[in-house]
Amino acid sequence: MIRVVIDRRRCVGAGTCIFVAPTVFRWREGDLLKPELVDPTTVEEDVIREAAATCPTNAILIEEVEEVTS
Amino acid sequence: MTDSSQETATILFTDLEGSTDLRTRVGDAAAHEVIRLHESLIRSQVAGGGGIEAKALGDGFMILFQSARQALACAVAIQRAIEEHNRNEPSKAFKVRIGINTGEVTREGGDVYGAAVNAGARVCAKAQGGQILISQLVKDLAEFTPDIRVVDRGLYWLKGFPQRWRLFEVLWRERAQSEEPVEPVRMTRVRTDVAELPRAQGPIVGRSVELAAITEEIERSLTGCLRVLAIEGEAGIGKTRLLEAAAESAASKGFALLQVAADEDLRGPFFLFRALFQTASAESIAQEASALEALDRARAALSGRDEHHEGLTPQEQRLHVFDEVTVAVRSLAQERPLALLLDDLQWADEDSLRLLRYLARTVASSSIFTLFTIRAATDASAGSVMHLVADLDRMHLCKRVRLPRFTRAESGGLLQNLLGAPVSAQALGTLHSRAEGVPFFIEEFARAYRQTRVLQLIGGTWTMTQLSGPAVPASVASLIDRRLSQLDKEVRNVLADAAVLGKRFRVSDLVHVASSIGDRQLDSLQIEEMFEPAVAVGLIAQLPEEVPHDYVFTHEQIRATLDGSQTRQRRRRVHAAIAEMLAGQGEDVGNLSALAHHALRAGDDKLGVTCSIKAARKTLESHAPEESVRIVDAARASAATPEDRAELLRLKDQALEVLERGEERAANLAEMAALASAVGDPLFEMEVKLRRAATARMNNDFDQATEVASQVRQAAIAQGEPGLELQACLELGQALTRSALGESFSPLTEVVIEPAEEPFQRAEELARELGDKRTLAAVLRELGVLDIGRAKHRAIEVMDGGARLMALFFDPEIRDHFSRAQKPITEALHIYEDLDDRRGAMSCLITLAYAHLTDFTRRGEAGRLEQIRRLRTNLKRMTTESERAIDEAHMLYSIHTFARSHLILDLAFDRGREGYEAARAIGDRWLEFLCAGGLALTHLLLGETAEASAWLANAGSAALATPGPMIARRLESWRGLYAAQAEDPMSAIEHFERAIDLAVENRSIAGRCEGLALLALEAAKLGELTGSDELLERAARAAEETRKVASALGTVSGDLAWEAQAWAASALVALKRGENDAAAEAAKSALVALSPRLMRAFHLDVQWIAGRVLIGGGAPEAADLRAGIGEMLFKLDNSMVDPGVKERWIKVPMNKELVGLAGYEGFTSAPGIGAAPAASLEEIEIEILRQLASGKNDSEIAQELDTDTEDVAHWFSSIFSKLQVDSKEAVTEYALTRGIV
Repeated sequence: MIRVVIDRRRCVGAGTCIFVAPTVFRWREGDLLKPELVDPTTVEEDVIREAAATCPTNAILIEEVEEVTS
Repeated sequence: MTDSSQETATILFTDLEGSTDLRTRVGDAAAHEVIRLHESLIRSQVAGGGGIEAKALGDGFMILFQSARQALACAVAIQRAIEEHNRNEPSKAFKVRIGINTGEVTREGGDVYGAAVNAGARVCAKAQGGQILISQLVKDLAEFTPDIRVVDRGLYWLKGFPQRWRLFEVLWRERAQSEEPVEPVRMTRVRTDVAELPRAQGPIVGRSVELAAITEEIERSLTGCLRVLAIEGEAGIGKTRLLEAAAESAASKGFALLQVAADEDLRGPFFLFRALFQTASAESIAQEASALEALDRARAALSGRDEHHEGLTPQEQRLHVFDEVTVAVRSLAQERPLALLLDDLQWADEDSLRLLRYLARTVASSSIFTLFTIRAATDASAGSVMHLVADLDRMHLCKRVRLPRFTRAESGGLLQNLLGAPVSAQALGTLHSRAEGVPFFIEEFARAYRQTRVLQLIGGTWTMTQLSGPAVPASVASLIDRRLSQLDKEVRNVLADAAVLGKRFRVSDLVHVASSIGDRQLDSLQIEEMFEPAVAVGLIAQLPEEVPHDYVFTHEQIRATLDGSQTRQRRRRVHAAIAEMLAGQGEDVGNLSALAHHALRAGDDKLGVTCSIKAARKTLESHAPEESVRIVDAARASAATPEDRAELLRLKDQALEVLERGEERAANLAEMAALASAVGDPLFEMEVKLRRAATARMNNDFDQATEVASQVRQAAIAQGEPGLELQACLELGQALTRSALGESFSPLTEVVIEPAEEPFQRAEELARELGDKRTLAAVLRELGVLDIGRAKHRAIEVMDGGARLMALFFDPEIRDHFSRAQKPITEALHIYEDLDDRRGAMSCLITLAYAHLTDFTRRGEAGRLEQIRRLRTNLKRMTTESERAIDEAHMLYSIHTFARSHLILDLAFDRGREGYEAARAIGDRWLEFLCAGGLALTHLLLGETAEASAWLANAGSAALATPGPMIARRLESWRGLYAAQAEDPMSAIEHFERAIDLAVENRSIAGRCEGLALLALEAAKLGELTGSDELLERAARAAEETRKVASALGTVSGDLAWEAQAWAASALVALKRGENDAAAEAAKSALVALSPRLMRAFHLDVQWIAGRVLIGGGAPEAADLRAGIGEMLFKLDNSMVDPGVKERWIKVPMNKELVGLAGYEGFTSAPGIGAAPAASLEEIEIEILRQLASGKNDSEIAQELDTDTEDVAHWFSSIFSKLQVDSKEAVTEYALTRGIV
């Protein structure tokens, strides 16, 4: 499982990631400045890579998901 | 001494294996026959091979050669002849060991002697039956001998010689077993740096699938990409054996090899990578690839010795380490392809695994073959590595191979290799079922059965002589026990101590243990000698000199058995002895971790905790937070004082912050706060408070964060603590601007500038006073952002006053705010550049793009992205040409996507085409695919099917090079859209259905929903066009299903355009069927679903259908809808600047209808200006336009362009005449409408 991290220091809120993968990213509640993550498992991982590639400031990083331990 | 002479010669020794017990084994007569056979066989080969028999030694020979090559050839001939003999006469089979050395010899009378001769005999003694070992010198002399392959077997002590000798094994079997023509191979040296010596000789049995996978992956990586092969399997299944085969195969294809093993008991920050980069191989590969500098930087970064990057946030520092390692690995792979062979990865430290994951993404286009061996385990320790492999698999970078147990036939093959003759069916059956097909167990059982004579060679076949073999224990553990019991007791004891230390161990540690708790003093030579029998029977193996350890247990099971034989008390004493030794060895991070580990295991809590604290701190400084958490957790139970506990908790908090584990952090902080007051350290208490303030801010509790940070600030002032005051000011500023340092480019509208500015201004003073450059840069950037906020507030004021957009460009106050904002940001940029901090510099560049007037241009946000793209080329100092090329290609594609999603089609065409070319130039086929597809879609938006078809073909050919499930689905969707546009309903539906199937296959719910929505909408449009009931019905069904899937995607419903598309499809179907009420309802639902958060412009078709139904039907919503569409058309009209593209856009029937529905009057190019194409302007004239539009006056422009105002005035008159205008305002408008700014 991969984890997507949005580097908020680089994100300029262009929204291309939402355009490419609307189930993975959405605008944050409250403001429309920067996206937040929804559910990366709804798409092929290539779609997330594509979203990362369309980010104009390379603000999307792909990382590992911690195993949920009870 | 008259006839004494000296000469250089190559000395070959042979020795008949097991000659002493041959007589007892087969009887005198038979033994004599075998020995005689052996002599005649060797003599016949020597005679034909140019050697001179110098001495017959009873069961061996000393033979002299003038050339090393001749000696090698003769040795190979001897072994092959013996092999043939053994095949023909298995009952008289025997084995010979051969050792060869070259050097100066003295002949005297008939005798030959000298140190080189002695060494030759010792080399021979190190060989096993059937093996040829040679010294380094022989190997060097024979370097270019065709058809000879050697393997580096590592370093050995030779009796009577003060230093260790590197010995090589000649692989003489290979040619005999393959019928392939012999190519003139160069000498291939296979490194076995850390890997164990292979146990079984000869070719690998079975595993043809796995070997094929190795070859395939190696070859794929040669095409210029990263490939990972993960070999998984249980203990003893033969993973390391395959790793060695892979090493050999990669080396033969010209790969540079880097090999390392993870170890359960060896720890430290980035242990795996540090070990990898410390090997001599890494050094020599770096030398060859001129990458020594990159390697050194990576080493420094990995051990936290990186001074350049103090003051970065921990996350950034970590990324920095990752980046340095990436650069190093890329550089190492520059000259030759690189093979990374990582053994026992289940034991790798978490930080190294994360780094591996990062590496896999960032070096995907270098020729790197990576092989992991992973012991599949049920415990959690292998969890992370299995995640990593699964992820790499999903990224299509990795092939996973799971080694199955041997089939009966494969067990037979292994046994034949091992024993040199076939095994009877009954023996095979017993051995195979006892060992359950696990190769290591098969070897162990075979060894035991043979030793106990249960297995005997009868008539050329190994046969079981007793049915059940009662003398042979049933479990492998007892087998190993049994083998160990054959060793001398003292040897066994020393080995048991070694087993406490780990799978790999140092002789020097054992010397210390012996002197500290042993029964007698031992020196390292004595220990090495003691180990010789253990090495000979393959229980342990010597490691080459360059690695930090001397020996390794050849199998974990062996170590476990030995370790299990120790008492708890003895284990503690061993750990205590090592701890005592390490305590005097300085505070290097690796040493500290080891010391902490041994002290805790020895039960010395005080020392263990003290060292754990130091180790955790240093580990954190080395950017390995996972390891740091592990060290803290291991030590916490032993911490007795509140100070120690507090310190451990603090370190854990820092690590958890880096790892962004919020919940764990909150729990840890609460405990810390309680402890801080118990310790009674006010500074520590305040530090905890600030940490809690930051946590509150992250949870959006800004008031709480402001309050706590203010309190700490006051206390810091009262106590005269400038460092703490600086921290408090930073926290306060972040709480007041409601955003973290570095995250905002333009403040939120509700932020009140002045109060937020004050703490940052004070922070600037303090940072300058304290000389804290990095904090200074961060603060300066924030101050610049606040000035951008002032400009934004002023712009709102001006526009609210009813001014024209153009007025903003000439508003002195706005210009003033922007130019004031640029100063601190630029200073911050320079500081970051001096600190070599790329991410900091990039963040400043992005911020600078906001400190321009681009916000107010017709292109709006797209203009700003273009501005960022332009500014980025200024980052020359810190990026290489190739990095810039990759960056630029991505940037072009992202602007294309942005423009396409906002229907700025002219820009989408330009950047899409440039992106396509750039992707081709850097060889990124995946990006090429995306760009081509994007261009096809852009053409389809203009109804241009011929062009779309051509771009689809380009996308298709790029897709062939980077196949993948998502790419296949995308292609089907695009082809569906193309067919729909080309009015071919059958083909369209077929493609969409295939896309939907693929989405299901890929488990992409979103993909399925998207496919269904496209099918619904396009089928509805085609049904409407052709009047086909069938199509309308298909559309209705697809729409229904889309909505179902969309609601299953519950968490995001309301923001998915697919739902809107489905409603629009339903509306169109209903309209065509004459069900007007249903159509109106569906159209309204479509508008509701088209949330304002979506890129509405891109969903014109939804609005077109809603408009047709509602405006056409005179619904009450008509007026609002008309206004909404009108507004959107106005935006599009303004953002597209190429009149040609606009003309094409308006020709599309749907668009024409929309314009009619909204009653919009526009879509003509601006009159008066714009007649002359931008191309007729000189480069410098365009630059002057840019400067002018960014608000600069003549003298500022002159300064920027390094010229004088007279020159600038001259250029302006030229621009005026070219554009046939007469004012700067008109020129500015030209620049803006042309997208030059």
